[in-house]
Amino acid sequence: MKTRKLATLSMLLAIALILAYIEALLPQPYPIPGMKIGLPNLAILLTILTIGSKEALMISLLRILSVSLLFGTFLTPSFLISLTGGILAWASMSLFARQDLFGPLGLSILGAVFHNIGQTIAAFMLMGTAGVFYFLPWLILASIPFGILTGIPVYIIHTRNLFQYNRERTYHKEDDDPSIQP
Amino acid sequence: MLNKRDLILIAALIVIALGSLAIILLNIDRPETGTVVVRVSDQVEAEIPLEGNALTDFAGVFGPFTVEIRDSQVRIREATCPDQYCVQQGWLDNTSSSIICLPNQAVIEIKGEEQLDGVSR
Repeated sequence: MKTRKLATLSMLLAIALILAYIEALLPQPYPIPGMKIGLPNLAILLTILTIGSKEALMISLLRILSVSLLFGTFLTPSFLISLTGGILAWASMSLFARQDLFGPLGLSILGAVFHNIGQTIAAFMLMGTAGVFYFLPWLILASIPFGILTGIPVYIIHTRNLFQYNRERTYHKEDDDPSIQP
Repeated sequence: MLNKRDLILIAALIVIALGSLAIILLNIDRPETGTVVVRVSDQVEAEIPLEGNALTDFAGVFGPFTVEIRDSQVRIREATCPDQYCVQQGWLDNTSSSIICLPNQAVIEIKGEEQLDGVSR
């Protein structure tokens, strides 16, 4: 792995981690268990759109692993539920990003919906109660505003080209910032 | 910001969510009497009748928690788990849903009595 790629991916992982931390600090007054804004998804979607799906999966898995180690939930049911949700969200977003069907906001909503579907299926298998599906319609409805909320920064960054990553990037004259010169 | 297909996706999701919500809410059963089943790690810890007022303590995987029954409803009154989602979830009064405490691996469900006299309804 090239140094430039390693540094970029590390930065995106750091963004995903800090967003997970901010989300944990927010109050959770919701009566629906498992309802979250899904801020870390912002970094995953940005990675899919700017670098690639494979790299996004790597960041998603490392984020879930790091968060579970930091919060002490490694290998507990909540870790396995996050993992299933994270993988399904990544799969749905990278699949539809390739099809070029939806914009960043649509992809973000789709990721949120599939995250909730994955979490619910994992919770059903782990806890053995179909009662978890009772919350799924509410979670899908909440995915729409929460998906839009996390999608807006991705939309702005992506459409205004604020974050560019080229595999074959070489030195350009316009890169007069000495910190990013090769 | 939202293109046409994004809007179609949103509309489809709203229809799916509201449709399944309607199916769930139309079939919801809020029994006056029944049984409260408390499970920890897939083991049935207790089956308490859903009547009167009762407080029962349980040992979860993470720590102790207290189940309260009042007015044909059940809730986790107190728990030592860090996230407290189970306590915030509040009262459960129907057979469709359940209260879940992930750190304690605890599930609380209400079983109605119509399993026995469903024919006579």
